Amino acid sequence: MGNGMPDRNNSANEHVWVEERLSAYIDDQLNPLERAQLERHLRDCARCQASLASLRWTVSLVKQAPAPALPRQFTLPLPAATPSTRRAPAFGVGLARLATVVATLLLFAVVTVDLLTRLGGGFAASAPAPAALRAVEPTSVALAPSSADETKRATPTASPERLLAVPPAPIAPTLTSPEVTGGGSAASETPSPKFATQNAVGTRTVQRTQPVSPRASATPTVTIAANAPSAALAGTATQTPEARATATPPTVVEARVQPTAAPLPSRPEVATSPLAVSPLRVAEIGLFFFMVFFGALTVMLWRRR
Amino acid sequence: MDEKAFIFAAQKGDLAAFNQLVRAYQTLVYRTAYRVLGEGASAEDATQDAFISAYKHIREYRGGSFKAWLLRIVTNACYDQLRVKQRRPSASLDAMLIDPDNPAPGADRAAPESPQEFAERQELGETIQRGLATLPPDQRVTLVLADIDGFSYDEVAAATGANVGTVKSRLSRARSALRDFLMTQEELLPSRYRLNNG
Ligand SMILES: [Zn+2]
Repeated sequence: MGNGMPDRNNSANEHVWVEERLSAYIDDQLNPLERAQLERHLRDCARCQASLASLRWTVSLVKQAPAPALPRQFTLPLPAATPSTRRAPAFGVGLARLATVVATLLLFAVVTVDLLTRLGGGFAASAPAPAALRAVEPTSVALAPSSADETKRATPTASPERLLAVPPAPIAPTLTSPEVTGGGSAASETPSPKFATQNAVGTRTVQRTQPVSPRASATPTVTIAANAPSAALAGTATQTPEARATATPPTVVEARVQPTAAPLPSRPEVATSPLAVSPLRVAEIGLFFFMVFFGALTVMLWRRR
Repeated sequence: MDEKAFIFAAQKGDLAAFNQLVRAYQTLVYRTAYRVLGEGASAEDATQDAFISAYKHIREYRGGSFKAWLLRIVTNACYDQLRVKQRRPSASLDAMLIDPDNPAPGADRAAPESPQEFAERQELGETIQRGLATLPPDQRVTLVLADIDGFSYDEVAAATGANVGTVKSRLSRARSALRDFLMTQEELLPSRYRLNNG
């Protein structure tokens, strides 16, 4: 009972003790013991009785004070800062995030399928076989029927321009690899030096035969994309990047060589190889762009909140 | 009126539903702001800020007393106004602007108010307002919420972010200080409001 009433009756301390509790007493906020002690003091103390009366009078006056007139309506105008403008981005973020996740999962699935079929197609790719040999590799064509537009792409009537336009992404490794052999691995995510050298071998011919043409302009945009499948692979399938890496560039090389092959009749077999560009590859590239786009969109929307 | 339904709809972004809540509470909110801030312009700003803030944060309301939740926002808006503006003496003619549709809580009486009584009550309001202006902000807010808005100690504590013990002592000191002020003004009050003639 630290709050107990002082012992000495009618002392200054006791008046203070009562005075401090009159406000709570008015509101019936004292515990029964305190209230009893306070009322016992009040019975004999005119001074504290007067204090209580004036306090009640004050509270009563405050309650009687008139309410100020409302100067206006405070309803919010419809276009005002509203949660709806805040909700839209929140909703958008959720959607973009969902799209990113879906694209990532699909990409993973496609890459896995691609890998499995390639592994099933044999490790011959690791051998320094000519590009044309690997281009004949049936995997890309065999898988093709799953895609709807595969037939168009597979038809020999497809124009070279179109073929060039479709598989731009994998070009990058072939272009960067010469630099890699010369100046280190900074330029690309090549998993092993072997990959770089092999590519260099394959592409050097390409570089030679390929005149720097308008097509070269397509390569810068491609560089990012080219890293995508290999980056995904590096994280998911550490065992296989080499096998895949060696398998991937050749088809690319041929795709690139193809238009230049026309003035070079010495390599006619290469000219047919662009048809080997797998729909899976296209799907990987497409999904990667999809993933990057929505990933960036997610981050953008998130920051804007 | 189903307050919960309006709150729920407002949380979904329904501004019209939120405005129903505004209509229900704007008198209370403005009166509180007015008594705390002492004059109409600041009170209007604080009221508007409070409702905008309430709408922005309506989804953070998680049940309980909506009035207490709202008054917490109002209290903060008032503190913001007090910080931003140098308070001017509150012996303001604004106090004369009485809303006949919203008589003070303790004002219900059997007979309708005569013009003279009406005028006297305006005088009382003005005197109270000057008295409130002498109090430190914490005490003033506490007294307004408790004695004008009729909040319980718990509600005042929730609205001001203080504990109940603090509310109790602030209210006690606020009432004593206001009492001392009113007693110095007693002869200026209409006779029926005087302590010894009441
Ligand atoms: Zn006493």
